[in-house]
Amino acid sequence: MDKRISIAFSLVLFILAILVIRLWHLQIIKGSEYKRLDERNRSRVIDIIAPRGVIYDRNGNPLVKNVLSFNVSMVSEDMPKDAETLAELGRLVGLETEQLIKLAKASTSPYENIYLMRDASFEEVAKVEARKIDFPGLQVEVSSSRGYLYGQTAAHVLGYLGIPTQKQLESPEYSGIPKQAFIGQFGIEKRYDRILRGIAGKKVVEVDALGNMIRSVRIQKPVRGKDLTLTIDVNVQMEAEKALQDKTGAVVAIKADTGEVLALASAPSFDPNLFVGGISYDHWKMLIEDSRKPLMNRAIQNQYPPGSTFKTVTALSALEKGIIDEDTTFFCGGSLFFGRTFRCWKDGGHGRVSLHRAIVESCDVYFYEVGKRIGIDTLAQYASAFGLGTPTDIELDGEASGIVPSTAWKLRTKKEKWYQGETLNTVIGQGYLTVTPIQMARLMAAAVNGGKLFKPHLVHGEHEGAEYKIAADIRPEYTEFVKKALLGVVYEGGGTARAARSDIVSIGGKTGTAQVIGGAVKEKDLPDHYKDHAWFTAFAPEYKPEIAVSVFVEHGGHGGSAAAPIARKVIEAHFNPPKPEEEMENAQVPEAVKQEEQVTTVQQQDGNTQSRESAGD
Amino acid sequence: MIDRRLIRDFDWGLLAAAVMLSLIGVMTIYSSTRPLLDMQQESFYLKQLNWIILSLVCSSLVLAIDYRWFTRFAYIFYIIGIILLVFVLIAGRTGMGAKRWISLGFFSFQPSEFFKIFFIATLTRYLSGLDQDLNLGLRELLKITAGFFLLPSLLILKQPDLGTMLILLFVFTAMILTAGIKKKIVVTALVIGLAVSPLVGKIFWGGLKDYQKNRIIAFIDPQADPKGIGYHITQSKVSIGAGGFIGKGYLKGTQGPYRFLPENHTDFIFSIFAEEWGFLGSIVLFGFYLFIIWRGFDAARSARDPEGRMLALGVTYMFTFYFIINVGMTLGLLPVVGVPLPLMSYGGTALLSNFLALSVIENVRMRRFASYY
Repeated sequence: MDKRISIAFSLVLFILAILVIRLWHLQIIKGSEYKRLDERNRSRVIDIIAPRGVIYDRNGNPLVKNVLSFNVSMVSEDMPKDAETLAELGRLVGLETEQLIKLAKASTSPYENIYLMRDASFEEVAKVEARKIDFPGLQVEVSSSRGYLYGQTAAHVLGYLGIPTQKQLESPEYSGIPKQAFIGQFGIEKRYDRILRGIAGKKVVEVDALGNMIRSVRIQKPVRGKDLTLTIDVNVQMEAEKALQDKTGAVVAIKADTGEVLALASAPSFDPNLFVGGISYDHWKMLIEDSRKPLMNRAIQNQYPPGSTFKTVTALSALEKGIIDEDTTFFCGGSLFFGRTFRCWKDGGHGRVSLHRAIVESCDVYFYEVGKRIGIDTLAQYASAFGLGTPTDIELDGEASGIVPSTAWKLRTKKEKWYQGETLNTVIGQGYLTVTPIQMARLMAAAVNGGKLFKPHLVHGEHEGAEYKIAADIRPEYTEFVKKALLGVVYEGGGTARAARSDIVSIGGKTGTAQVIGGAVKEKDLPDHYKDHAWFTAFAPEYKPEIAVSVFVEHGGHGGSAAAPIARKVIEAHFNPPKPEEEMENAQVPEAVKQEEQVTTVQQQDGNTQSRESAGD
Repeated sequence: MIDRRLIRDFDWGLLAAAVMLSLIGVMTIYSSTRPLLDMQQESFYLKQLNWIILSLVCSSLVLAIDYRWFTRFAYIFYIIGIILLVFVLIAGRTGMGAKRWISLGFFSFQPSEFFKIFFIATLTRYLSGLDQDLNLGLRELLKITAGFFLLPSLLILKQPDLGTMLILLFVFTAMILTAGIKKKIVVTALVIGLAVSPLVGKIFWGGLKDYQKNRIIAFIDPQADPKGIGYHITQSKVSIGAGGFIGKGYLKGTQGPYRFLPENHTDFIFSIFAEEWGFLGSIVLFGFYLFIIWRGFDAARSARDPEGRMLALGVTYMFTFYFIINVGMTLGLLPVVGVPLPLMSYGGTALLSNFLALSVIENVRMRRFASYY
């Protein structure tokens, strides 16, 4: 038996030797590898989102602020498994049980964060914090978001933030942005995202197995995004939007001598604050399904026939080409026959009219006569030189180019030759010709500033010395002549834009009433959506024009009555800025964005004491 | 009067090593459960300290009684043990999916922990009742298996407590083998065993609970699902490996307090120790265990009678298997079967049972020259 005991002890020694060899293997041979694994176990890299650059208007008024946004999240692994607790959780975060299950199923990994609440209010956060202990794994994340101080004002210019799409995350333009960051998805916020977003910082923290933060190891501070000053004047912008209220349309006001955009409004508008912390499905649906398309920026994204506002171009090109001179007169009998009958807007006709009167009273027959004599390609050349038919390259996405028809254009797109009759439509801004409101504002500026075609721009300081090209080589006496006529439109008897008369500044301009459907149907008999589009392009003051404005009202009816008063209000807002007190009243700062905060996101620590399992006693 | 020889032959080294290991255990429990955020230190280490004191008191009571007394009443202990094992299945407290505990209100204990000692005593009583030079035949073997081993092992497996059942099986086999068995049987058993192992393996596999299956899958391939079933093994290896040669230092370990390694103060206490004390510390720790095992075998060899020899041997085997299986498991050499590290793992009943087992060894050694009275 002693022998067997010895054998047993030898076996023990043998097995112990194996254990020691294994220990040696783990601790000495693979020790450094396991040390790395051990550190990786504990280290988590947390992104610190950089405070986003603030956007100011030209007078230094902040238009946006950075705000804290609270998101309530949980990983699907931690979701309650029993129906009762799940329903309880649903009540806390305001979701149905089925919605919770759907969210959990949508996650790709058990450790992926599921957002139960985005942009929760302080009250909601307090409620969640109070019940956190009942739902292990429930956490409140803080992230930075935007507050748009003026609500809907300049929404189409400023844009909004949103969660990056998968495609954006993969593109080099957005490399290095934290997954949970909000990035610009529209407007200036999108175009200048790279500048505004700054550089996200990183924080290496030690966490325990439950994700509780124990201590931070290393911090790489975020670099704040650069501020941006816009050329927009928030007072002019607000006035433009107020004037457009309840209408569908657009207003663009630019500085005639630099191309700086003072106001760019599109109605109906939307409140970009809805997008803060992620837009809710209901709100998004509402915006998308609205037949008036509030998300569309009508100032640049839609193209319309310019109507009589185009007569400025027709007049200038006909003068320069010698087709007519300042004294040329034609007889208007209310219509003109050229293959078919072309009607003047005034049934009885204007009688014998000069060019000056033709512009003032917007006589169509006069311009038909010009159209009989001018080639479409000559007209197209001047129209293009005034910036029509190509995007203005303003710093916003989705700009439309408009159409400047020509013989080549018709052959290319319609596979048909051009008929001179179509030129008669084109000279009065109808037919194939389409433009965007911003193109018309720029055209107006170029017509009165000596032919300088500026690149309209929204960001101040980016275009120092203002880029421009000479629109068309038109003799100064002709531009002066047309300018006088444009003033006459507002101030002379029979002028079509007498509604634009202002007490504080001299305004000139050209009305336009673009037909939606052709023919001789009387406008007042038409349903709203067949009504004419109303245009007014204006400048002020008479000498050294400072501002050029284009106003477009969709189905607004007559340019003189629907569009001209809006232009007047915008121009007056520019020349007569509100006093500081008024400004305070006008700026409706939403309550929620008042609490401006410094901005970092760190996962909230949760101090839940987890009960330990004990296998002993 | 106490025989002076009892004091003279008392194995102070064994006692010292056992107390030393249990105190190292308390230290390691303290370190592995230390709080990181501003929370209270949990009281596991204090409870364990209380259990050590209680164990020492109980052990000295056991020492006062001649070991032959145990073997004489072994069958009664055995029956009491079986009753408790049945009772725990009916009225036991469920913890972590198993019914292992009997609650007495103020404290609860695992009857299977004590049953192992009763089992050893019973087997000793039976084997030493047979002829001196045992050469057990097949018939005898089946009788012993059916009579002593089958019922309790099934009861323990039902709890379920695979670890304890396996320890029981190993101790039983080792004791029979040491007692003496016909060579023919060993050879035949090996051949048959190899031949039918796939079949038995299949039946065995089918009878396992899901978490037991998972443990075996995880053991074979811990990387299969590193956050799931293989998690224990991977984290245990990370803890041990990160210790390196000299370790991170006491109270510098992270795997335990950061809770990456589950059950760090119970079954995986060695991983925490190895993380903090490294290869050097672990070798010293192994030294203590080897010393105790050696003293156990030595006590068996120098026992005055077959009963003492078998008793010391059985207890030593038990201690050895616990040590090897636990360390093998933490090192990723054996599947995770839920076996604590003797003397060090947190758990009162196990600690008490270990001290009682060691006091049986002392008992046999002390009385090697004592007259029978």
